[in-house]
Amino acid sequence: MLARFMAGLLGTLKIMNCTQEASTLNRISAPPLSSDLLNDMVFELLPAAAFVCDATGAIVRYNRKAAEFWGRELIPGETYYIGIERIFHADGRAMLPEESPMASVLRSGLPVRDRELLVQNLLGQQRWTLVNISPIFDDEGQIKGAINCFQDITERKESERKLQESQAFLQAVVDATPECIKVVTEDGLLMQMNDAGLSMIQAESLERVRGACIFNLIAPEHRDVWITNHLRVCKGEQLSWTYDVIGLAGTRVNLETHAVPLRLPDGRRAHLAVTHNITQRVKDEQAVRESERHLSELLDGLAVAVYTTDAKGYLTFYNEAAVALWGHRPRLGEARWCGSWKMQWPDGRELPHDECFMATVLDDGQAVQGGEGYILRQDGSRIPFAAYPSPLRNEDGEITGAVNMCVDISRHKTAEAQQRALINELNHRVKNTLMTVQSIATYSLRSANAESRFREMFDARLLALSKAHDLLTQAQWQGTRLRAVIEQEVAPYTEQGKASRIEFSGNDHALEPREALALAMVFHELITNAAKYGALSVPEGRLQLTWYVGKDEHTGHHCLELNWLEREGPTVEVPQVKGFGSRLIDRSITRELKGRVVTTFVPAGLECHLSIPLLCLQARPKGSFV
Amino acid sequence: MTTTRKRVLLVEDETLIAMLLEDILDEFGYDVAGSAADFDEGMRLASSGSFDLAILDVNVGGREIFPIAEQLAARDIPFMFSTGYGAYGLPDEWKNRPVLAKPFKPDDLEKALHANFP
Repeated sequence: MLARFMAGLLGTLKIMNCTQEASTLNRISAPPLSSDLLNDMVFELLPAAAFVCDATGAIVRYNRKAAEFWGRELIPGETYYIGIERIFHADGRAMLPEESPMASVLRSGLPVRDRELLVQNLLGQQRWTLVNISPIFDDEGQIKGAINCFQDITERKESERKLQESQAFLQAVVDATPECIKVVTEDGLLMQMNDAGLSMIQAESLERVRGACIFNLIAPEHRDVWITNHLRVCKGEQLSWTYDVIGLAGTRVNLETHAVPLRLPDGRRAHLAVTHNITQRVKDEQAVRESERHLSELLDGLAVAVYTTDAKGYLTFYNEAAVALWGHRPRLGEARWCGSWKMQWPDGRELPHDECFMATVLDDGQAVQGGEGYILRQDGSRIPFAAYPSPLRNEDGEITGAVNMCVDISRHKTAEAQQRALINELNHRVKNTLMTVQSIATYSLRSANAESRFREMFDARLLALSKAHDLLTQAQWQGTRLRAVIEQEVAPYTEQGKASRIEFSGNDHALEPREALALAMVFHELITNAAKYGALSVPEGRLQLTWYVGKDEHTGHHCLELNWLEREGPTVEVPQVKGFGSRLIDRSITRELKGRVVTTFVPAGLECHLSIPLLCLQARPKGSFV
Repeated sequence: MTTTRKRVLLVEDETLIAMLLEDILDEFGYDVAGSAADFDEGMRLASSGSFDLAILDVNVGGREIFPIAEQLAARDIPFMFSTGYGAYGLPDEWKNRPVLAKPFKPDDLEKALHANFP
């Protein structure tokens, strides 16, 4: 049917050629036969522009749409192959008419189908055309001509180009973004992924992974959650979550994804996601956590209390030493400025928390060095402290909080008090000693009036006192031993080869400083007396000194029972007047040491019994003052 | 004369100092009616003894004398401190009491006695 119609068209051409008449624009031939008329009508009614060439390429017929496209009318048989100004090759060169698709169809007899060509018409307009050319054969199969139907597709090409440009632009944006952008169908198939995403899953190209199920890329421990979230997103939710992917190369990557639902052109449900690689962030956060943990361990290990607050003073951290100082564990974020229960100024006035050193530091930004006060614990204890708070600032210099180091200065305070006490004590001792020396001098002088031996007596007594002090100084005034005191007084009389004359026996006992001083003076007076008037004043005289611990029947105290026995000296007579020595012995033992003295002046020699409740023998705490 | 002698309480732990003070006081016409060498004895005498005045060593056997001072003050018995610390060693509440700074000459003691206990 088509062949006959086409043959008809060509038949008409013949007539046109014969008549050589072109009286009308659209009808080159003479008034057609009825079949020609039909052909003409069909030709004009075609939805496309069309023209017909004979076997030589001459355009023998065309319709109105063709003429309008070309922008001119033709004289039949004078124009070959193309009715337009020119056709362009793909590279932009102009095509010779002999190179045109029409020429090629007439040569080869092969049709041209849906060829898109850029052309320029006679009005100088460049247009895109969609060309279809069919050869026309005679009964013998020889090429008689060809018919070219073409359409102006310029607008379509333009919108296609724009679409392509816009798609390319979008693609460029998607490809250039550092985030992974991907589309995953509801059943888990990867539809689209940009370069950044491919790099995250360690894929070389989209072709490698497109259409693959991505569930297996999700780290096993995150897979169930991922699939659940994915299905929720496909059904319409917008979700964000974090998960790990084990890439194709086996490397784990931490990701944070923001997913929205998407309907694919074919109606399938999918999820579109923008996903960040947060591996570095996770690593940084871990490093920060690790560093904070390390710091916290370090601070906990410190023996000094350290705590921090935010800019408003609320506690953000404290170490174990702070707990020890405060005596309790305050709640972070609730306790403010200091974790202590209460505070006091050094003078005992209440120190409200909002006036403490930490509060002023947060207020004026000035660090404090060693602000002192007392921390009161709920158990009633009171700890002196020195605070060293400093503001913490951000890069812009704004105060973001403060850190305080709080030192328990109890020991320091105790040491201070001890030092004060020691100085006072030293003063007291020195002044008392001077006064004692004054007393010794006074009494030595009084005795000397009668005996003119002031210097000798004074020096000897002073020496006895001084030697007792030496003994105490050796032991840091913590006391000394009984034997040491006795030996020291007896020594001058044993050095002369008379050791056998003096015997002493008994266990050694500790002496308090005042006991040692008193006994030293007592022994000095006794031995001086023995040397001057008693057993040691003659070569055959002997001195026996024995002691033991007994119990006082009246007081129940354990006492040092000490017997001083002089024998084979001059006959003893009871003295008329109580001398300084006797007075000193009596006063020292009874008044100062709370003991008893019994002195017996038997003719065979002086007997002196001392009973002294030494502190070391009593079950009570030691005193250490003179 | 004996009837007008003032009765003195002496609290002093150093034997030699106590002896000296007792003798000096006796020479100056005072009657040492009580002489304590330790705190407990001093307190006992201060609480119950009959005295016109007292001389108190600030530190007796390592203990501060102040409770005894309080006791005497409560009984309106005048007293003065004898101390190696000087007036600086006294707590604020006792700073206005007469102080005899050790060591002192007998004259100093006599002057202080006359000035404070005429």
